[in-house]
Amino acid sequence: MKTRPLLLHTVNAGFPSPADDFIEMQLNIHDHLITHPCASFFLRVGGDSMKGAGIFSGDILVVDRSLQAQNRDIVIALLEGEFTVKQLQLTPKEKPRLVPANRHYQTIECEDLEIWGVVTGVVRKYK
Amino acid sequence: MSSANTNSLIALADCNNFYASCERCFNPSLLGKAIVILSNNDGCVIARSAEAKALGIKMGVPFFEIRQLVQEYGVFAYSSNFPLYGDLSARVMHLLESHAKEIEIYSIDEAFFTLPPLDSPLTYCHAIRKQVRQCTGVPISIGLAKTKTLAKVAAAQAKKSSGAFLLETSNQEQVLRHQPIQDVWGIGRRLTKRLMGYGIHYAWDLYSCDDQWLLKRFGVCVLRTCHELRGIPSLVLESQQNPKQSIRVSRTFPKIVTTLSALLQELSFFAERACQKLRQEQEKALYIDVFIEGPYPTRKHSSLRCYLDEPSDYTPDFLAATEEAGRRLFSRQEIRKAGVTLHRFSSKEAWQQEFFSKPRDHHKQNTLMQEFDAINQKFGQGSLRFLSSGKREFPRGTRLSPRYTTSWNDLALVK
Repeated sequence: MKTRPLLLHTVNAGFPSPADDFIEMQLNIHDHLITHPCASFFLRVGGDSMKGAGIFSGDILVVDRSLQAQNRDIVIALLEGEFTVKQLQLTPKEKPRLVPANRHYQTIECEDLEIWGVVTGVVRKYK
Repeated sequence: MSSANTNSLIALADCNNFYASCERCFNPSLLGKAIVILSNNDGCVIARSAEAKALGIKMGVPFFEIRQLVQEYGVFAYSSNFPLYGDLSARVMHLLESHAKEIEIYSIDEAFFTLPPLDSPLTYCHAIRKQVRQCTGVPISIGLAKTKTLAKVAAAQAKKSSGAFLLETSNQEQVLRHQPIQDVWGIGRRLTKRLMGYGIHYAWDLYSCDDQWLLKRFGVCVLRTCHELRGIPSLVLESQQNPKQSIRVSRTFPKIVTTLSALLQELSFFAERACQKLRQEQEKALYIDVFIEGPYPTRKHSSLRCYLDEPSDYTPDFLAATEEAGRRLFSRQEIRKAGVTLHRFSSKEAWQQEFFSKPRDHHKQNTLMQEFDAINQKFGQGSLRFLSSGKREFPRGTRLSPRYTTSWNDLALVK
């Protein structure tokens, strides 16, 4: 998506707008949310396992696949042929863990965990 | 390898089983499963995952012929989802571009590019492969060689080996001796037959031909291919994509068209699609060419050019012009093929509003077309269309996967 500069006057007659010498790009939320456009994708949340971390069912997640997942990152992992969003916990001696932010869900321990991407943002519309 | 040599290396990156890989990106349950992608009307197989190839499913086979196989082995069959493939392709190409000195995007899943001088080009290619895989989920193979034709050969080797392959003086003869001539880039079926008539069965046979003899018997194109096989670059990277000057939408009809009303409906549909592409590229056109073509063997061709009174991207302008052209072209003949072409209006051509023409409400027209395109984007191609295009079945497969990356309603679900 391209943002075009906002032109304040279109008529050729009359006084030019004094703001025309100060034209800047309108803000685009895409630019704010996404650092690596080639590697960023949107996924839709369908569950409440991360509600304690402020991620609710229906939210849109911004996922960056170019990032290497670090300890305590919120990640998208592949689990039994499905995407799951959880917090990644890496400790030197134990297996990697996927930790939910909801006490009704269990922590998952996994030897060869497949991480799909790192969650870098959440988008929610109220109206 | 010295860096002076790597200076001239050409790489060919090829996405592995591209359409099937795209389907997998957003549907992890497909990992390791046999997948086939079907053509527009779910007619034939146009792409296969490695697992589907292993089941012996051939390229281009009609779907009904493999239906039993599909059920028996639980093969996943999808209609082609071009919005998804196009988006992932653009991402892959963009990543490749960031590494390339020059790049030629050859097809939706292939690109030639040149690398800057490197000590270890093969290691670098493996790094590119890893990055593309991680960022987009699409696995790619890279072939490296001195020419485009050899890079193609190398890419095929890469697929069979570790995913990247460098074709160089030391392994060249061995590889070319086993490379069937019909699989050499630029050698089609008819050429293969003729070459085989002279005992040329493998790339190495062509490599070893006498220049003058080749030129006399087969002409300059085959000689060029021969030079390419010898590592003499004869085909340049066509990196400067000269912006396409025209947009053409045409089709060979499944049934011969014989009535004016049927022809006008088809033409109207073509014009509608062409205008949509025009707007996508934020261009305008001043005139539209309409052509019709008769059946074999004469294939009588006639065409007409219709001018608008000003450059436009407003579909109804072109529908009116197309209808007029269609009426004038039609004279109760049989029509096998028809189409329209829009020519981009370049801003260099000065344009002056005609003094007596009615001023138009551009704002209203733009808004209407924006809404029109937005609805089709949201609900799928052909959801909203002009009545003049008639009622038509859209070639929408019944096995379509979601448009994961191009529609808010189709995002992949995460639990």
